Amino acid sequence: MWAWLASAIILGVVFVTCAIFYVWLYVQQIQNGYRLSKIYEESELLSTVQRKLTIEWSRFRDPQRLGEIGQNQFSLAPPRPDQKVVMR
Amino acid sequence: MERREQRKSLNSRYWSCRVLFHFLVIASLCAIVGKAFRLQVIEHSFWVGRADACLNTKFTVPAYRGTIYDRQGRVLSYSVPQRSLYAFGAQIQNPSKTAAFLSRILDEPARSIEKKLTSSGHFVWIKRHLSDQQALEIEKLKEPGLNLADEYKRFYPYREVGGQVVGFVNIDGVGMEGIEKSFDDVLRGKPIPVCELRDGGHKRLWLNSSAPPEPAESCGVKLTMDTFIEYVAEYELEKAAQKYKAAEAEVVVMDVDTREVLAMTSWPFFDPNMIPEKKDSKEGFARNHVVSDAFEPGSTFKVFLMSAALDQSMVREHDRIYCEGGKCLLAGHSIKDVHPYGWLTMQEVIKYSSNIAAAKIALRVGSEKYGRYIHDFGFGSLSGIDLPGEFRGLVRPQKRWRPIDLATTGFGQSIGVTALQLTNAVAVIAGGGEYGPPLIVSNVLDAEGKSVRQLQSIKTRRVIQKRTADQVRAMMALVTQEGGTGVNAAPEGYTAAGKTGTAQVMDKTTKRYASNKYTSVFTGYVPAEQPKLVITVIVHEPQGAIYGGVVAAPVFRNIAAKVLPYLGVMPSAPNSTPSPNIRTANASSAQIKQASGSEKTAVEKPGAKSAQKTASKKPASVKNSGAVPIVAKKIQPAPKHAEPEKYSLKIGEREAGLY
Repeated sequence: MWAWLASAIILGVVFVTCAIFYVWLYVQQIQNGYRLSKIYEESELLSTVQRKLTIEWSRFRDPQRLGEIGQNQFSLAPPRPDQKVVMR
Repeated sequence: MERREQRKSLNSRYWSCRVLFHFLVIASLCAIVGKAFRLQVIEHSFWVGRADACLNTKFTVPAYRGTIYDRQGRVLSYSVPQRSLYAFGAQIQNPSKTAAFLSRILDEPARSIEKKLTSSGHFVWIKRHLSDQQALEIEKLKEPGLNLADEYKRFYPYREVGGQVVGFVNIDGVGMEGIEKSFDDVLRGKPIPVCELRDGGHKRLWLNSSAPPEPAESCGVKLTMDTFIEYVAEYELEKAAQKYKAAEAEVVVMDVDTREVLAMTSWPFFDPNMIPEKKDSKEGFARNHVVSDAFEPGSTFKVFLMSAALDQSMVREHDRIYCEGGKCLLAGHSIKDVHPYGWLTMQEVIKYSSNIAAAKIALRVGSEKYGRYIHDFGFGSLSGIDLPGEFRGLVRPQKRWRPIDLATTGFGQSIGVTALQLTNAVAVIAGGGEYGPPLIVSNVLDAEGKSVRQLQSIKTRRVIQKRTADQVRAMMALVTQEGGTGVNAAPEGYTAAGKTGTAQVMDKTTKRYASNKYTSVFTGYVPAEQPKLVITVIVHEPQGAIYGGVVAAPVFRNIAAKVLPYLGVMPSAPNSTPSPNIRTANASSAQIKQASGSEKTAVEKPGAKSAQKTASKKPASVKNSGAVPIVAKKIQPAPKHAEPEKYSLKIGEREAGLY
């Protein structure tokens, strides 16, 4: 009788433990799902920022723009003939 | 006894209650099981569908349109996420109030926004491609019925540089012009549909076993065009076009060996970031006139006639031809030269650009052979370049050529060519006589930038023998030398070869050549001794000056002077001396001091002295007045070494007036 009761209690404890573990796993899965979605959104945002920065970088390299900046901000101009040195 | 009776009645009540209780319990359980069976088995799919509809949402992982790069890997066209505003009119509670809010954010009239909101209860776009600031402000409104959609906008960071080549896409991301159109299938991305869970609060939840797919980019395209060369070409072309108040202008720069187009543009330029509306005056600017419009090439076409005549051994380099003193009647029509000439060698025909000589040679070659060469050089047919709207040019069928057509085609009239065809045909001569199609795209790249397909220009046919090409090249080199029509084309320190052209323009109303409209052309290559680049410059309807040698040749020179050092081509002109006030690196300090002020320094340099001597020894038979030579009216004797008696064609002597 006592042996039967003990094994029933052990089985019950194991069952309850497994059930709690299962629920804990499920909760973890849900939480990770939220975390993953958040990270995914952040990654999308960073990807967007990266693409916008790529455009900005390309815009800075525009020779037309560089020419305008050189002329207007730094008063640069093509060299006069007497400023040229022929390398031979 | 009474007790027994009582117990009996209690027992019977007890048992009836017990039975009733059991029945109720069992009935309840049966009802529960029945309901569960109904929900789980009979109506399973219905309830699963409802649950999915509540939890699962479908969204698309963006696939960015492929990037377009120049040959150095600079980004010419790029897609960036941008949000668009749409509305469901039926869900908007107060359209006029919402329109007023949106009007402030979007900087658009409230009335037009309200009209959109009230026009339909269904989906309607309010504004596509909002700025980040606008999207944030609209998000803050939290107005029911207003929604933001993720879309992608195409940006062109180099603006007008190469705008007509790159082309543009419409608001839905479909290629409309240029490379964007011709490579639309390659560039256009295919979004990946993905299912995702959302909870009651609309928070996203990823429970799939695999990681969420990342936004991918479609295949890209690498052009042969170089942004720096394109910019230089555009800068110089615009300068000339504005100086001469031209109607339009075009330039093409091509690599001789690979037939890769390094620059290609037509003025006025086009900024693909500003999509032209229909009936907009700037709509035509998006058109790539270099491939889609034909013009009469004028005297530049003489080099192809000469190639045909030399290749067929119908003339020789030092043969002489009589130019009738500047005016003659050929095939019943009067043909004139700009300046009167007498006898000219074949080299001088190209150098001084005689129409009469060209007409005579064309009649000599004949329409059948000349027509075949015209076709082999690539005129009258599509070059096969990967650009939309290419025009094959205007070349009449040979059978319909009258003698006057043949004669005028000799000097570039009665024929229409595109700037690209002309450039590629000159590349045939500069490259030794073989034809290869022009190339604008060198590689198709995957999302990571690795080449998945390489495109090359394969030489498909030999048009002229190498010896002929060398002879014509030598003739073209004379054009840029003292006395030639293209002296303004030679960049300092480099040798150049080419041909000028000044073509009359047909008046569309009178169907006759207009007396005041010209097309100025210069096409040639640099360096003359080892051609690297072919450059063609066309200026339509210049004012003030008309000659190709005056209007177009300086553009050629300026482009070559900037591009050759960029490509690492060292100055090579034999006997070239820097201009007097340019210093040389190996000059002594005393010489450097002198350099800025006196002309003496440069000629005192070893080599420079001999160069000047050589220059001073040159015969003064041809006076140089700027770019247009004035040749003495006297008949010039052929050079002694050319054995004129042996090789003279004597067209004029034998059958004077017949041609």
